[in-house]
Order: sequence, then C-alpha cells, then structure tokens
Amino acid sequence: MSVNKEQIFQEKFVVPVHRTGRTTMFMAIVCLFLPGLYLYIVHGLAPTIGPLIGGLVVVWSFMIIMGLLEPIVYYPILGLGGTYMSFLVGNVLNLRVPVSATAQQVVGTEEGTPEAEIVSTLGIAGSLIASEIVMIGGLVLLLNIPYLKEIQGSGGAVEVALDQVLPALFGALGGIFLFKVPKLGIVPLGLGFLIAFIGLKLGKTIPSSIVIPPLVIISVVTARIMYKRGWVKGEGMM
Amino acid sequence: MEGNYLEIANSPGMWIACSFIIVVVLVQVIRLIMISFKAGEAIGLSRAQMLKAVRSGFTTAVVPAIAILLGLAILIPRLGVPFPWMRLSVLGSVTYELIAAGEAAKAMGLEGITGAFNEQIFTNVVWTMSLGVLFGLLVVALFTPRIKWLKEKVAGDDEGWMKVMTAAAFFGAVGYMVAEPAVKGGSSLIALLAGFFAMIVLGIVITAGKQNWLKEWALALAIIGGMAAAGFAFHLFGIGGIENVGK
Repeated sequence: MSVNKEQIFQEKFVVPVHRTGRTTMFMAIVCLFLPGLYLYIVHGLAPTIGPLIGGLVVVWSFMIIMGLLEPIVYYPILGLGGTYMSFLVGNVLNLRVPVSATAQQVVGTEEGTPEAEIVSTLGIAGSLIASEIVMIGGLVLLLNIPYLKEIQGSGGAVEVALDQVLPALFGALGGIFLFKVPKLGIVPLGLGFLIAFIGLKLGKTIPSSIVIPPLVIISVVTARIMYKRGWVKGEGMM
Repeated sequence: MEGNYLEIANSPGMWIACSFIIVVVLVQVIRLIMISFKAGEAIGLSRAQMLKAVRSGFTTAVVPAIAILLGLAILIPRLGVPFPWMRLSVLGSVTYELIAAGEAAKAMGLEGITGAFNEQIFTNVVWTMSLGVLFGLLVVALFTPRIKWLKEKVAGDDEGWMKVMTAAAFFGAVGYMVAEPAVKGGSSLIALLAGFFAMIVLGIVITAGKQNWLKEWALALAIIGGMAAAGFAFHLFGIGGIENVGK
C-alpha cells in the first residue's frame, strides 16, 4: 500500500469514524438511562437499591469480563466503524461478526486492508438497517395478534409453556456448552448443581448474587489452568 | 391483575424516552455510511462494490433478526412494548436481555421474569438492564482508538486465552442458572431438558449435516422446543404447571 493511500485512509476514514463513533456512543449512553429517568421524574418511581445491586452483581459478574474482552477479540474482524456500530446495537457474535465476514468475502477484500475496513463498516451498516426494519415490522405484527391478553391468567398449557422461557433458554445454553466447550463446562455446571442441591435441601433458593460472582471467578481460574496445560484451545470457542 | 404498571410501561412518555437511542443509532449508521462511501471512493473502491457490501450485510441479517422477535414476544407481556423494543433493537441480545430481566426480578423476590410484576419490580428491571450494559459501552466509547494497547494490557496479546476467558466467564454464570431450574423439577426441569436436547440435536444437524443456515435459528428453536415440551407435559400428563413455578 502506498504511503499516499494510507494517508488518505487515515484522514478520510479513521479520524472521522472515531469522531462520529465516540460522539454517538456517549449520546447513546445518556439515552440508555432515559427510560429509567422518565419513570423517576414523571412517575416518581425509583429502583430499590438492595435488589438493584443484587441483580447487578449477577449481571456484571460476567458482563464486565465480556464487555472488556469482546471488543478486543472481535475488533480485527469488525474493524473500526464496525466495532462502534456492533457494540451499540448488540448481537455482536451471533450477527455482526458473520455479517462482517460475509461482506468482506462477497466483495473480495483482503483482511486488514483499508478496503476491508470500509467494506466491513458498510456491511454492518446494512445489517443494522435490516435489524431495525425487521424489529419495526415485527412489532407491528406482534401487536396485531391478540394472543397475549387471552393467554395470561388462563392457567392453561400455553401459559405453562410461556412461564418456562428462562429454563428453556438455560437448557439450550447448556446444550451449546456441552457441544462446544464441554471441558469448560464441567466445573461451573458441577458446582452450580451442587449449590442448587444444597439450596433445595435447605428449603430455600440461594440468591444468584451470592453464587454467581465466585462461580465466574472459579470458572475463569480453572479455564486458565486447562488452557495452560493445553486441554482447551481458543479456536472455535465462541 | 397486577396490570396497572403496564399503563406506565406503555405510556407515550415511555415510548418517547425509549426512542431517542434509536435515533442516535440511525444517525450513527447514516454518518458512517457517508464517511465510508467518501473514503472508499478516495482509495479506489467502486460504488458497485460498496453497495454490494451494504446489500450483503442487509440480507445476512434479516433471518437472525427475525429470531430476535421471539425475545420481544416474551418480554412484552411483562415489560410493556417500548422498553423491550428499545433493548432488543439497540442494545442487547435475546440471551442477555432475558437473563438480566430475570435476575433483576429474582432479586426482587420473584421466580423470574414470569412472576407477578408491579411498578416497583418493573422499575428495578429497567435500571438493572440499563446499568448492566453500561460497562461494555464505556469500554467501546473510550478505548476503541487504543484497542491494541488495551489488548496487550488485558491478555498480553494471547488471543486464544482471551476467547477461552470470555467463554469461561459467561458459562461460569450460566452454570448456576442451568442448575437452579433443574433441581426445582416440574415444568422447569422439563423445559430445561427439552431445551438442552433440542440444542444438542440441532448442533448435530448443523455440524454433521452441514446445515449452516440453521445456526441462526438454533437458539430460538431450542427455546420454543423447551417451552412447548413444558406446555405439552402439562396438557397431556398433568406434569408441572403454574403453581410449581410460583412456589
């Protein structure tokens, strides 16, 4: 690549993308809290601090590690513009990464070049537009099916099914576990079951805010040992 | 029923509060498309190539986006329409949003996102889901220009370990989340097992049968399978039921 081209790319792409990316990210962070602020200012509803912290401890115990690592891991694929857009709209791994890879493949650019950066950015932009259109269209559809009101409180089989979203989700995640990273799963799953059984025997649920943070740490530490010994590898991991 | 808070959750004010971030996203997308086209032309990409990139992104994303609608359908009865719509169209994945909402409700003493909500629980769920993603957004906002520096600080450039660590952190949290409904028995256990086996079967079909298109649908299908199994077990054999959940 000629020096000139590198310079043009720097001036016309890297600098303005950082500027736009950063500004919009900070605007988005402010907007993130508008629903909560609306509840507080207009309806006088504030969160109760104890349970809020309890919930956050669980969520943050994995979100902080993932929030730090995901941008680093996927940046080489997503590129500059792609990183800003992907982490703002979410679904990075299951949607934006394949989109970026496909776009680069379809246009036929070489990884890591300015061309690939631009193509990745455009591909992810296209995927964002698709997501928003589907979400708006789907919303209109969902709202016109009067299914929910009739089912709720009926006590019927459909309500039983709807009640089981989270167990079904966790079962599915367990399946992915076993399929992709069985060795990493043994420790957190085993300990998880042990603690859940103890809770059952004691006749109460042990709050996840107490269980999950140490489990995450133990899981990472054992993963480190397995990685050092070469039992698990980074390839095909996520 | 406990539906009064839904009037707040669906109020015009809530719609407005949730819409701003979507405007920000659209501004970002449009700006970045414009920058890319200009820069692309300057370094010799053709307009056709660039349009092709946008089009390929668009078509690749349509089907997975449909799977996200499942999350929307699940969250709307509890959280009203605008907030789940904002969360799923902008910030999160179905998995994260369901876990965050469920954990926030559990911290309030419910069984999960399916318990009896009120305005206080709704408020807590909103704040937990919002604060939950804050860290990730800050990392991207602050560190993207210095990402190589950050990489060396965090994992000394060992990419394999970074991937393993990400997976280990996530599954460390999921381990207990899987175990909890499993030991509870009843409908929860059935849904869990069915979701689990559905995923295994789908995994086999995808890898052994080389059905890659199924990948995007796998999680949604497995969830629906798990839920359906719980419903059928109750309907046909009277196993489980609501009271089991509210215990």
